[in-house]
Amino acid sequence: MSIDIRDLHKSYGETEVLKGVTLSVDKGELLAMLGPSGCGKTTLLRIIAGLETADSGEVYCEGQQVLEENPEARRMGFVFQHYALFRHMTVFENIAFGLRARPRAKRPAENEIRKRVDVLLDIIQLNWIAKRYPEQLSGGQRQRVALARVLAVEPRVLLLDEPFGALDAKVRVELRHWLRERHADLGVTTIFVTHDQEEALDVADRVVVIDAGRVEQVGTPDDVYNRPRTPFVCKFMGTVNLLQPDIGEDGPLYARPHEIDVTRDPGPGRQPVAVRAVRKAGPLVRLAVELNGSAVEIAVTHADMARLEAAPGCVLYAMPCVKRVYANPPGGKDEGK
Amino acid sequence: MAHKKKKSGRLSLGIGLAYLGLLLFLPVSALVLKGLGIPLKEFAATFSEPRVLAACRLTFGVALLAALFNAVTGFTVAWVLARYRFAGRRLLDSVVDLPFALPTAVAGIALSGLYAPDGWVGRLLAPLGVQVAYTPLGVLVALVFVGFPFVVRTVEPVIEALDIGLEEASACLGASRIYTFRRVILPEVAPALLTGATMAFARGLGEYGSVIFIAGNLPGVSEILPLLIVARLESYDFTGATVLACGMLALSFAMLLGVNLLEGWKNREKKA
Repeated sequence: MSIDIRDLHKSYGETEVLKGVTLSVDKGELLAMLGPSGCGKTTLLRIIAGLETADSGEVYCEGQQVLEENPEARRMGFVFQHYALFRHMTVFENIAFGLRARPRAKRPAENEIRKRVDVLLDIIQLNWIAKRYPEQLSGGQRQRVALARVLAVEPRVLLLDEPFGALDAKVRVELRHWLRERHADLGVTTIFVTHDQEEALDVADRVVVIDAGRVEQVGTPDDVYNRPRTPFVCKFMGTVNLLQPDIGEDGPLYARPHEIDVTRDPGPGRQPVAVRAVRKAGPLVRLAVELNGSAVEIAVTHADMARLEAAPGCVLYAMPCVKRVYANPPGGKDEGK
Repeated sequence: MAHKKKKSGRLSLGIGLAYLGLLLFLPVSALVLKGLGIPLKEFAATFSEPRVLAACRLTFGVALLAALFNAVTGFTVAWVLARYRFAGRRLLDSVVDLPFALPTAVAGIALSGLYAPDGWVGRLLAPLGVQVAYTPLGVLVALVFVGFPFVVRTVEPVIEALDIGLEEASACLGASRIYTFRRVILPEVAPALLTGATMAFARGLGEYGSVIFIAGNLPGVSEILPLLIVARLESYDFTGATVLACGMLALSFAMLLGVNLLEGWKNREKKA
């Protein structure tokens, strides 16, 4: 199911949370809405689900306006950060809830319900805890049950609000890979909200970066990471160094730690940097250096590190290997339109 | 560390039990001891008197009805107080507690004034052929009044703490509001509702002050058990009063125990 969002506005009292959001989501796509907390991404998701009303704008689902429909009628599967499982019901009954809630005429027969719940329990690989209560499950298990509960009603769209936010780091990574696999199997259009850029880049087909109620950029993970369109997106996607501009440029140069090349010997265009600290834990070695009096972070491979033989106190020669400059100085984003 | 904790735990347990013993068990066991000295046939004789039986039926029946009524209305008011923000909410919130604070005799006199055939409310009901004051209906009105805050005060914090996400999840799964209420909200609130209704019921059983003014106290019709006990005391029939009091105690205790066991059983079922 494709979704079209047009010029959506929403305010809570004086605070404008959505300032005209336009966005289209393709059928079968796995889309991440990424932004800092308070940027409006959750509000946007809740408006799509019908849990929140918009002040103005439109939401179309497969060409059909849905803002007038109440959440019961929309058939949008919403998964909450804190799972919102019904704690007095077993896992089985939680998953069966949406089917049992249907009016008699549309309700599947009891054995049909059993069959469908069993299939879903297979999908989430938790058939062995069907009779347990949510309290007895781990966070990751609860979130999978919440997902199965939503899938049971065959939603048009899956909406996930910070689905991994309450899980610890290792489970989070496992579960997001699991989600991507399930998405590949099921092909349901899925939108998930996150403030974790690593999560968004790792899982999504496309990423929407939102800041202060506005869409900053829509693109593939590759696009938003390597070709950020605004300084905000660039900074939000990961560590970035603001280097002094070359002569003739009107803003600083944005270079990520691994986009700066360092050598032991001086060369044309290279500037001397003093190494302050070396951190070797991780896939890349990170060097904290000082360039013209300001702190800069540089990342090099372990292999390069062996060649550089850098240690705190030594001097290396650095040169950015990208030319990423923005016309507007950072923080001076033009307000209004 | 653990050892120390255990010891202090034993101390507070001891203090708690001793206090409970002094406060509750002493007067109750004094009553029971007195009752033990009375031959059983005295009990049988008293509890087969039509007047006593009628008073029993009235007291327990009306207290139960009032508790059920309060469960419904109390839930509604608690819901409104917990979920909506409106002008005068604080005022309404304090008004709920009034039956706690008001001397019950004052409440009884006010209610009988209102519901008497020439009172503000009684006057409106009279043409419909409904008489409240001096009938069992009057007893019900009094017990509804005194029991009301128990339900509101036990249920309100539970509704307040209820995760709105549960209702939203239910709605997104296609459930109607009624279905959501029945299958999601009610099971969450039910234990508190049962507790509140039980307290209202217990209060109704023992209520005296407000009832005697509005009930009219017609023997066999609108006479409650506590009044019967007082009547026996006033005619120096201490044995008769003890018999009635012991009987009432046993019945009340059995019912409250029943509710507690039901609650415990429900909880165990959930944990199993």
